Amino acid sequence: MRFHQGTVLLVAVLGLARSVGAAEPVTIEYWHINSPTFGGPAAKELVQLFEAKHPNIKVVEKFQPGVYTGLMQQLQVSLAAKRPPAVAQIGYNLTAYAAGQFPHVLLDKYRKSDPAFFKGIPDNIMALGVLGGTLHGIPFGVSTPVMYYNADLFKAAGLNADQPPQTWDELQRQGAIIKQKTGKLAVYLQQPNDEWIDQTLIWGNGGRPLSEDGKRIGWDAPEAMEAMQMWQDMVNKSKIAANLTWEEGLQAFLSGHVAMCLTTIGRQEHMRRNATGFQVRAVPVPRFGSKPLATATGGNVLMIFASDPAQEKAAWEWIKFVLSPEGATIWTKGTGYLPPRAELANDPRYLKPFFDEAPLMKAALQTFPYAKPWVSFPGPRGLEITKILIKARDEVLEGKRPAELILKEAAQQANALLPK
Amino acid sequence: MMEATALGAATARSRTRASRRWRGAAVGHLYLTPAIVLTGLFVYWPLVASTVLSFYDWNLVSPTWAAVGWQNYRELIASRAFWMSLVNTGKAAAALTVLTVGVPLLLALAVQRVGPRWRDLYRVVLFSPTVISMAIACAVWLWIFHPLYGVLNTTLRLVGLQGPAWLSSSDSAIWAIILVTVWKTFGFNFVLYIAGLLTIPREMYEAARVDGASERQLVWHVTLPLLAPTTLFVFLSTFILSPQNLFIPTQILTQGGPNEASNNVGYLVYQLGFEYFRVGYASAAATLIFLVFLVLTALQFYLAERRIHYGR
Amino acid sequence: MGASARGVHVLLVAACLLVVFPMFWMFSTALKPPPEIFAGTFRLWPSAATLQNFTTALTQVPMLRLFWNSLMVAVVVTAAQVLTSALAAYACAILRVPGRRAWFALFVATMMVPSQVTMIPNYLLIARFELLNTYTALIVPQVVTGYGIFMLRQTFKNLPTSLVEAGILDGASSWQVLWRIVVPTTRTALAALSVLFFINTWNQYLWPLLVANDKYMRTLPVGMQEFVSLEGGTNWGPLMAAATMAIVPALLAYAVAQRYVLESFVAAGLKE
Repeated sequence: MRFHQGTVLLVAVLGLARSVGAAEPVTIEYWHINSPTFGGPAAKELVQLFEAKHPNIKVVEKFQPGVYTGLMQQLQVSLAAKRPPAVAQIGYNLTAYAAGQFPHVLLDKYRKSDPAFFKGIPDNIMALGVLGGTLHGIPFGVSTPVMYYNADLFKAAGLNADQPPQTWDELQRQGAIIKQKTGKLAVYLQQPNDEWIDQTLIWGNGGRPLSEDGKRIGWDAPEAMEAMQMWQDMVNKSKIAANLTWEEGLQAFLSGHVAMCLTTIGRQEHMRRNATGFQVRAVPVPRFGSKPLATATGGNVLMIFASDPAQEKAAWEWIKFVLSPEGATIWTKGTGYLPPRAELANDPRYLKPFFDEAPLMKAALQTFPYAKPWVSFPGPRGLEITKILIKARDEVLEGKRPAELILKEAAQQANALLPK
Repeated sequence: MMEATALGAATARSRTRASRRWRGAAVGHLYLTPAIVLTGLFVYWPLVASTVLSFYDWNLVSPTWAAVGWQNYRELIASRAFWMSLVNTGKAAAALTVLTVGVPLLLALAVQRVGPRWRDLYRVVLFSPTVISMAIACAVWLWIFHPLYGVLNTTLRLVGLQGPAWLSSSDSAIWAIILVTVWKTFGFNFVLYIAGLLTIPREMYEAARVDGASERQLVWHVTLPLLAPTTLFVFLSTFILSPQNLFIPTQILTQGGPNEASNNVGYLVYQLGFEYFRVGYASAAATLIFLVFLVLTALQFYLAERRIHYGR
Repeated sequence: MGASARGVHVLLVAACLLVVFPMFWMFSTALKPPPEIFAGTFRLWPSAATLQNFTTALTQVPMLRLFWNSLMVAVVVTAAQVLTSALAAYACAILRVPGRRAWFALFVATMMVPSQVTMIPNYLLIARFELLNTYTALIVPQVVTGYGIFMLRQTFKNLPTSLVEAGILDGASSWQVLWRIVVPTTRTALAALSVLFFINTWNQYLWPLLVANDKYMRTLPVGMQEFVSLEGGTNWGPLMAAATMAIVPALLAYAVAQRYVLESFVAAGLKE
């Protein structure tokens, strides 16, 4: 008996001594979507600076192909094998699914332990990581859609390149002129494997992609149907808009075949570098008449998936660093995403010079205060809802049936999949 | 053939003794062992696990999961995506079988007829699409398919036709995918036919020529019949592998859209499991598809084997 | 050489042009400087050809390491696949083991199992044995292929029985007959199969992505994805340059197999 007790005590003391005096290096994995031309070097720089400040923590940054969807897939299998990364970028449209279905760390506790970190991030941005009142992830990448346009094509059509359209009505008017005078298509709204622009249109026209109580899809509300009908007509009736896959649409803009392109500010570096023989400019996306500007916010939250406390702690340190003024500056410069800490944009020590030199970013800055969430659909079937809405969009743009019918059907199917 | 009979007749007794020692022996099973073990471990065990999983609703990660009986199968049979996928796969399998079984054969025969230096060149060039990765091929074809200024539509415009928006139009999407797949995979069968043609003994041709056969008769009565086992293999393997071959083009070019117009069984399983994370549901789809293909292939195989003469 | 020979050439040339155009486009894009890639008017050949995309590709991504990984895996997998296929096909077609039809059916049926079904359980298995990011993970699950067994069984079944009979008469064991008689006679088919297996493995994407996503264990197709980003914009120039470099080994494998095996068969005259 005594022997046992002694051994137990000894082991306990030794164990305690180990954890108290421990300075064991911790290795964490950080998964991201930053390719070499889209923030890859920034990610590496951040890792170097962080490791210099935290000699006990080693960060292994891993690029995941396939953007946010690809990352989610890898995340799912790694969770199934119980080897998830400590921290990963989760696209906003996937956040509800990840928060609801993947085991992760809830972050509200850090509000109490690190209040200084949370100061300076505007509430409407922080809200992007809050679902059902709980903080699941820290918003890291913040992007808005902007309207890039080909100044040379405008001039060729006899329009004033300094006064691109500010409302959809104006866009249709100017677009018709461009088509008539230059023969080129006027506009392309991005059609990726998600409904970001669709949500932007709905918010813009005063609708809500999802009701407040999360039980009704907003695609069959009058505002949504009106906006989508407008898009359908631009493609099929007035024929000023292109119906192309995302990559095709961007290529068409860059090669001068389409005058305006509504897509993410994240692409601004790519646009600048690849626009052949014309000047690219950008302005906020058009408004619906006198309604205020409203756009869906793109980008990602950082979520912690580590189950080991030491790894969790290291992951939180990493998050604090990349969102610090220093980290956010490197990040913004490398990606074209906006800094979650809005005031950095005007701070000459940090991002003011960058924004001054990147005229395309101004459009995003102007949009920033009007950014609305990119609603991700709750429940285990949330991802299928996204697909239903994408299919509806594709069908609307093909124009074989009126938008109203298609959207009503889609909303019905989607509503059935929302949690009761 | 004559050789065999003479030898056979002369050594019948010793042959049977040796064969009995040789054939059907346990050692035969030894040869099968690596294949059995590895297939069992890496293909059949997952298939069984997946079939079991098809009776559950789970995403592999959630702590909660539910047994749902036949619900997944019922939902599948009622889903438009499933039927569109089947139909599209059928269209694709038919097109692939015609284009990548018939055309490579024709080309292999044609290559056979030209001089040796030309032959090398043609063989390398015709085989080259097979060499690049499917993902890169699709990336390249993305440019070719561009409705506004891609090569396809530009060429069509030259002859006064208006090409469709290949990837965004529900009528043409599946055909765009089929086109890329045909382009990419016909080289496989091309090589197999060349190999097959090379194994036909020259004596067969000479004997037939001596009998006064024309070129065309040679092809019809000597080449094609002797090529039959290869052709059968090419035909069946193209059919069986069509879902797999369609997958990457679908993933990169259209993601099954627009509105399921280009969805197919290979992509559907991926979509259900990796985009919706409904692993149970995806497993149900996979099991169903496996069964369908199993039955169809078995039918074709037995029908065909009966008609092929192996020369035994 | 008459009209029919010319007709054959016409057919072949037409086929070649149709077939090779995308490859040519890939190569020409690899040589174009960025401003030309998105040029509105379609240019077949860059006006200012440059090698900068190749250097970018080589520096932004550890190409040599990726090459090595792909090569290692492709060679080993090819050899293993040909070997296991030959053994199994031999057992079914020539040794005629009892139950061979059932075994054969089982092997062929594996071709109908969608790879997405086997991927996740295999991945979990590999993870459980701590074999992620190793060559073992990349190689072992693929060692047996129904395609190879199917194809070789056809080939072996088609051999004249006299060959094997002669071997048995000489008192050869089954192993000896396989290596001294069957394999040399069918080397055309074996070579063709090897080439196809090599290329297949060389270009594989989904499985290596799952089990070997560490930066230095990746294979070429996975590594090349670093140039693709729908969010920030795909870097077409270096991507096409990397793709061009990637086809070299696969084309080489084909050229070698073609010249030294297929051609040698014809040149030496058919042996049986």
